[in-house]
Amino acid sequence: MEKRLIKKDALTGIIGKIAVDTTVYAPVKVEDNVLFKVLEKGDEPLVTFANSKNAPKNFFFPRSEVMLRYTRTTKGMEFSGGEKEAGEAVLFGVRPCDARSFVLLDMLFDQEKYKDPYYIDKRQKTTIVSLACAHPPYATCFCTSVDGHPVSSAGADVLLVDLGDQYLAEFITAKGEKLLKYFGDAKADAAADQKKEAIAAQAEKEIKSHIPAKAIKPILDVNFEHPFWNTIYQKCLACGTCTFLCPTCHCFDITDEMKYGDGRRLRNWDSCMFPMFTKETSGHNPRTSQKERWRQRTMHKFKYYVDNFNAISCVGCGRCVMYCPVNIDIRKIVEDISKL
Amino acid sequence: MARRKFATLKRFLDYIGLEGDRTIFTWISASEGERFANVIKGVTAKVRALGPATKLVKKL
Amino acid sequence: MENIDKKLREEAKRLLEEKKVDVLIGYETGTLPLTATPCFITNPEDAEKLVWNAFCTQNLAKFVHDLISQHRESQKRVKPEDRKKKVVGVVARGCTTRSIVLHLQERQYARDEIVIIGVPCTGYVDRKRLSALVGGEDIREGAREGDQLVVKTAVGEKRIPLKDALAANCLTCRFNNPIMSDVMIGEQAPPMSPDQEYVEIEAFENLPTEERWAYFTKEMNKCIRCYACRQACPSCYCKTCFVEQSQPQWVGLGEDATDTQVFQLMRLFHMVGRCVDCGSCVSVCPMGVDLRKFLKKIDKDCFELFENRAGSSMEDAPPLSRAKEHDKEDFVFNP
Repeated sequence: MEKRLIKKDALTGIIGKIAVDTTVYAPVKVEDNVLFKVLEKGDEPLVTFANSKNAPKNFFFPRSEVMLRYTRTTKGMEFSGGEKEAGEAVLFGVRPCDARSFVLLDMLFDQEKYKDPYYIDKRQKTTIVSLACAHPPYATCFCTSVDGHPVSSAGADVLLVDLGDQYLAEFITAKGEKLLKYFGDAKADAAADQKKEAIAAQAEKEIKSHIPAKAIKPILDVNFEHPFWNTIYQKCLACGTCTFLCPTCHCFDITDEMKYGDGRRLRNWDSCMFPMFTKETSGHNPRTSQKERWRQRTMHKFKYYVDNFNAISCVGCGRCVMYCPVNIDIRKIVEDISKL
Repeated sequence: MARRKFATLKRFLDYIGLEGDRTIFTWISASEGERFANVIKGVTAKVRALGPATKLVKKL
Repeated sequence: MENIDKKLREEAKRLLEEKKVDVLIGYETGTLPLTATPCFITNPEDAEKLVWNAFCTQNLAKFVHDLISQHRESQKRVKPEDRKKKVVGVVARGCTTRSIVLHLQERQYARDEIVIIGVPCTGYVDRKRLSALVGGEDIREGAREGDQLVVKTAVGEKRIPLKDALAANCLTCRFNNPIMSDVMIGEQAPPMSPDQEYVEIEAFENLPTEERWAYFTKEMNKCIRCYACRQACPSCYCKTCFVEQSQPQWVGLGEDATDTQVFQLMRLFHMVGRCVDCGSCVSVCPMGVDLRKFLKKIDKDCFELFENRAGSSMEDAPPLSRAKEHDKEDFVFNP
């Protein structure tokens, strides 16, 4: 693996240079929110930030995506493709938890049984530059409880670690190595590696939230009907904040939109928190209340995904904990389930 | 009631920045043919002066 | 404040023990620093969890409506002679009681289906404002000390005057004491500054049309259609929202900016005479959309045109359900 050292103040310049040659998405401060967006001239990418409000899954699995277009003609319907093919892009400044979400989403969208062309196209053409959390930014961070780590390179093509006076850049994949030319030629030595190890150990210690996420699978296996499910959902507003900000939530709904003779088929994010979720054409909904919907959300993340892909579908970013308007805390739910 | 709804709607649309002349209300009785024609002339003149709408128009 | 918590718990416990209420909706301390969260109490012992403080943000009338309508729905499948009434108790400040007044006026439930524990309110902390005051740093610990908030973040400790962190709607609140209650806890709260309530709106009204449109579209572009605003709103109780109707489909569900504008526009306009300025929609919005800029305008127009303040008294019927002969007609087009 190639490794480089770069001066701290050089990083913004490097991103700028990459942005000249290719599309770069980076965290930018937009009013009070830190959001990933395309870097345009004059935009200042953030290199010191906690984490973005929106998860970067948006780039591979957008909130709204055109699958196909059609036109009504005298000879019937004429179909044409959806969005034009994605271009090469660099996703800069992804936190390790969010980078890991791509590994988890790959299991679903790029698997043997089904290959999602929309997702895979963008995923293959995008290089992910991760920014390790030398100091985990939030008290609600719990990545280490779900197989993540604040200095993990999982899902990243390039990993940047803040060593204090400089950055260590590790080029994990061949895709990542294509960016080597921008990072100068100061090769990293063993001292840098040692420093990284020390930072990783310290960062892990700084994670204060620990939940028994891996212990609850066998409990969920046998407690589908447990009265516990009656206790968590009542205050839920049934909004989509948790699922829309979640890096791993991936439910979608397909709709058609028409205007005069032209139409398009869209897939939009859906949310298991919405009363419309899994509502059938007949009007019947097998999930009759927020109780069943909350059970679905919990089960999907900590049981079904484990059944299907042998991984918990949660990266411990803490967004749902921080932004839930009524403070439904997934950490507490997991904790409570472990005691059932 | 309709009058109250229109009063608030017109004010509100104007407030968010839609051109005020795009929302027009009036009373016309079924017996007022000439008045109806005049109103429609007035409305089309106002809208024509504004040109095609660009706000709240969805493009597929 | 401890005193008020104590009285509240005693009262709640009594109501539950005497079976005056089947369930009590109040607030308990949240899992994050400086937060409180709605809670539902059926067991008298659990009344000990209740709190009433400056971190109680949500308008609980939303849950009153939810619980009663769900209960009524469930009773449809019960023989008429076996049907039971469910009485819901609620901890209510001024704006919550305004929402309850609206619900009663709109015949959503009967007065004897609810028991109101009134509480005085001096405003709640706006989390986004608080976050901005500590430079966006993660809040690790916090406590209220008199008129100040002591907030510990990763970079250190900061003392913030409580007033600076209060929600905008609270600072100019006209009804910070309950409109109606069955039991009142604590003393009447001192008035806020209602004379300032339309300052922001008047300034916006005076901007050129294109600037107002630019602001509206900018704010709506932040919206991710999570519907938290709609879900948190006590006045948004339609069984099926127009957004979710599919035959016909009134508005697209995707990311299209126009669709989002139409959704927000329609929701906002449904608040004529129905927005109590509780700030719930603003506080729940994960993206920080400035909804109040538009809702407060509706409130202002309602007062100017119809002398109505939503839910401010049982006698003052909703403005769109009545009309007066001399209502203004200056908007009518007469060529």
